[in-house]
Amino acid sequence: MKLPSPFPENPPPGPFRPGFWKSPLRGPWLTSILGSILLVGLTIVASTGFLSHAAYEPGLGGNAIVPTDLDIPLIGIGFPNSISWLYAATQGLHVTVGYAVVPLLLAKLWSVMPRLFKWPPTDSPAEGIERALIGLLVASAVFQLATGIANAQNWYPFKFNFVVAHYYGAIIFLASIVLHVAIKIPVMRRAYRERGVLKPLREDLAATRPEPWDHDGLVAKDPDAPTISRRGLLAFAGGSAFLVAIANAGQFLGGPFRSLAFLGPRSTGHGDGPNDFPVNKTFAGAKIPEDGVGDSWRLKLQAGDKVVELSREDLLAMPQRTETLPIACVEGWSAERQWTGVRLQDLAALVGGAGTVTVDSLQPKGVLRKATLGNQHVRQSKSLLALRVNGEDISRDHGFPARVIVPGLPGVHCTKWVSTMTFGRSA
Amino acid sequence: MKAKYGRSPLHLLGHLAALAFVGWALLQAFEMSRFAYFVAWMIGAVLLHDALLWPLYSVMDRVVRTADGLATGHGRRLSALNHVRVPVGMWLVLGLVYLPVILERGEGNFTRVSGQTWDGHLGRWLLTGAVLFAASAILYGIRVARASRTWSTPSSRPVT
Repeated sequence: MKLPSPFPENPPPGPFRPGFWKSPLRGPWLTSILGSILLVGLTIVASTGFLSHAAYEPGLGGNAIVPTDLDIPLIGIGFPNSISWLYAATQGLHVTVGYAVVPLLLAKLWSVMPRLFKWPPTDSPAEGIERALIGLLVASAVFQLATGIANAQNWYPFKFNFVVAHYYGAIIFLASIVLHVAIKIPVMRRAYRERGVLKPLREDLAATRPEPWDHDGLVAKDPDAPTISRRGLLAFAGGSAFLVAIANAGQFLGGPFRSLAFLGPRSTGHGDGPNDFPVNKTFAGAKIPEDGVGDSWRLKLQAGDKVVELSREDLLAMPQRTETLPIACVEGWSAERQWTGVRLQDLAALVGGAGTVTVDSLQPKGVLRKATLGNQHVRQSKSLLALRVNGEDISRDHGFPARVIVPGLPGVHCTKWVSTMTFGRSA
Repeated sequence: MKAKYGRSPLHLLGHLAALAFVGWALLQAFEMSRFAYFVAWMIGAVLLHDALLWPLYSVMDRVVRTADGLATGHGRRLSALNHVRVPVGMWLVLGLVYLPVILERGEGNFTRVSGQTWDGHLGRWLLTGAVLFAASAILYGIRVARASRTWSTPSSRPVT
């Protein structure tokens, strides 16, 4: 039995009529190859995004930006801290591949545009529900790219909290892409079986023919002569993705590559000398009190009721360690420097602290003015309370008198202008 | 069941699972302030592509194709179509991705957090365009020169 269609039989004029679509390139193979390439990119972007969420350790202290009772209950998985450049790499990939995905998504959407204007819009409940999910997929994909790009370029045209919105947007995207891929795998396999995975790439413009007509609605019924080959179209999309990526990639490759990031917002350093690397929050911007960082500054260490106060001289008199570690921002830039200071585990030992540590900054208010670090970060011997960078005192913008630097920890959790460190108590 | 629904029961269950998960995410997002803006931006994202970007580049492509068709029809033998739309397309996509920094939309925030200003992004984007268009023009020039040499001296072609 077939349900009666609520739609008139004749399509409205324009793109709803099959004759509107003239491109000889569209077809299941083209959409499959574009979808396959896009899937690789989106997998990198999505997995690095969820890794970043885990790296913020939202289960600890006041770290959560997405409230923990409104989060997926697997946030305790943690983030490895043995590879110091891991967060710099995953977040650099998240932003740079996220940029590069834009032209690939545009090409993929172009290849399936006739399906948006399919007539009748649905001919079964199955198709209706499938199209609803496709709508969510397109909405969340474009939403994630648009909000991510705006955030990485410090532009906030939206009134919602970026982190929260980008997180729930990612969940909607994840749910709809998993289903979409599962449904389209048979279509892709058929296209690759019938046409070969890479065989159509051997065709130059003169050899480019339309794919055989089928009922999927992608192949034009009455196509024009081709003006570009399929491999030309892929080179166009891929070349655009490459151009977009190299305009930013230097920001996370760092060193001599930084100045090659010709459109990256962080392509320049910050001042001169050893402190010449980007800042995410300036001394003035964080409204750090002038008198708070003078000679009267004391670091307060706390574990239970045991309290120790140390001046900067006291800290410099303790065993100093030098570690080469990157400072890596969620916005996708990073810079590797040599940090000198006191190990976090040595500070914990002074007060008999164990477990996690909550690090407070002198910053009077604002999100991320403090962060809680997991036990694995405190125990990691490369984790420092840094006093110097590349052989010089840390500048005020980089956190003078002292800042935290931990391998593989998001930059905003490497608290600057540290005032208090509250450790857990050993049992 | 299959006849009325249109696909297998697995299709239905998969979609119900995904929709339930999306519903959960929306329910959590509802707790955040400005939930209405979140939904409006989701809808706006679809409109941005389907109602703005796609019609815009389709019309631009049609204009370039028509102009090229007219020019080739008037005796110019080599189509310049892809020598125009490929560099222009790449350049516009680059501009779209870096729109906030090119238009310095977030410079106030950027200066507040970093103590620096943005300089020259618009200029560097324009220069990128200059390089892309010049490279494409040189390639086209080489192709035209080669083609006219072949056409003007047919006897120089190897006899097969």
